[in-house]
Amino acid sequence: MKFRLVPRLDIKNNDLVKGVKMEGLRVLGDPSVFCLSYNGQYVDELMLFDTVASLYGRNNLDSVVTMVANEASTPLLIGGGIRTCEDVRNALTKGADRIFLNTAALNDPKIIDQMVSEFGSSTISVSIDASFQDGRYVALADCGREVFDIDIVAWMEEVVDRGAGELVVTSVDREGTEKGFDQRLLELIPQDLSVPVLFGGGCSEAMDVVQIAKNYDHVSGVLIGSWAHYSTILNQQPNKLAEREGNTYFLNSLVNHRVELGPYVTEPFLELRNKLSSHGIELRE
Amino acid sequence: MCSVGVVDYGTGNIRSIVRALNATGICPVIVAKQQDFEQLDGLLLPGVGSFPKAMAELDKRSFRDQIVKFAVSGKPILGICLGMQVLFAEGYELRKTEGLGLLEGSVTWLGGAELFNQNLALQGRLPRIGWDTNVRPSNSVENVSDAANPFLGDFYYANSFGVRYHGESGILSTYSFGDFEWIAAVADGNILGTQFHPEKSGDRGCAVLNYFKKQIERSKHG
Repeated sequence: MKFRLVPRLDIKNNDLVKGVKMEGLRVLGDPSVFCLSYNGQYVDELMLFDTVASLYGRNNLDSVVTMVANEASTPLLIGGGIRTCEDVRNALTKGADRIFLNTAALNDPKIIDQMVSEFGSSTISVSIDASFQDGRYVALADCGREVFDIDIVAWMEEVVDRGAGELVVTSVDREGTEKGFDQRLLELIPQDLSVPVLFGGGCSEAMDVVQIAKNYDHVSGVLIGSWAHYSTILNQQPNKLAEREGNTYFLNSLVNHRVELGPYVTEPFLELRNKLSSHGIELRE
Repeated sequence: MCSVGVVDYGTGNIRSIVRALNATGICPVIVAKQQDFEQLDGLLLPGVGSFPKAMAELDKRSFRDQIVKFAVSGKPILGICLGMQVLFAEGYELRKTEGLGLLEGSVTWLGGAELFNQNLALQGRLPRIGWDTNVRPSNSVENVSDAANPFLGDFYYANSFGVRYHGESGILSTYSFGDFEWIAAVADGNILGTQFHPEKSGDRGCAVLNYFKKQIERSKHG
């Protein structure tokens, strides 16, 4: 299979938000604007995560998912607040192609088996939010709010044994920092897992992705958040940044002052594709 | 405009298919009960889930005979992913299950017995998720030029089961997994099937749906 480039969009109350290490969420704008932009840059899939669903026990994503599914052909990987087979069915009906679990799987791992037998392994991914604490990695749930002090490698293996079709591994310590991928966590992922692995947290430029694609055969693709989103924002007309609710200080300062940000590029995924291709990594045509 | 019934049997992601059909200029009609099979120019069978579950859901709605009858009438049918798999005679996912039997062959696990001694991670991981390249089948007997074959190139997949290619006629493209060649697209008379998801495969996917549309138009106008 071709190496996958997957934008990760965190959603809160119909806004695209972005934090650092899953905290201090900033509102970045209308998620569908970002989705459609990435769709036009030949990304392989779009990952949408409802950041508050787990906490409040509801699902905010339906309208965003449906809007994107109606406009774009990019496959959608959807998660946040999915607990039951009924939740999975609802997500698929609304336009999801595949779903991922985190909190529900940690609370009751048997739910993985149930969902896999109902929807097939290629529909069910498990997301693992890993954080290095006191000398070892632990798994975080509820968007980083709850710590499960478990052996993270054993958890990866259990999830696969239970039939999940994919692991989505994120380094919370790097998430949103744009300091590069977490090598220590990458090294920890067993090479002989039988399922594909998506890896995310910390991407700062195209060469970070080239390094993973070249050096880690067992990683099937990468998740990219901040770097792509901030690139996209800086290429929108300030007046196109619609009025949003929540923490919009950042958006407003962008509009008013054109805040200086890092080394962003006009079309992040096209840039990535060029860079990866020039290093001999095969991507979708 | 031709109308295509999209069979809703509780396991598909129908929304994407409806969007893609609209974009192709086909009028999608949701088929949720037996009477809905009337007055359609073509039929599309989607599918997400497992083979036995899909067959049970079809039987629960008494759709099996309707679909077979539709196929026998000569109107075009397109099965996508699991919807393609159930067109075959039998499936071996979870347990042996009889399929619709419109095509000969059986659906087996891609990592099947013959691959056990090999390192799966080197062959490719399962499920196959993402984009892969369809090629012209080896020993192809089809009289279709590559330029006129919309089933070649990169398409989006999500599958762990498939149908092995043994040189049969009616196969327009294959993908490889392990040491074997598997059916990516079948076009046997009025029966079309794709293991990949044309509705999720950008412009190439549109071309596949367009091929289906043209086949429907030909069948309508004799």
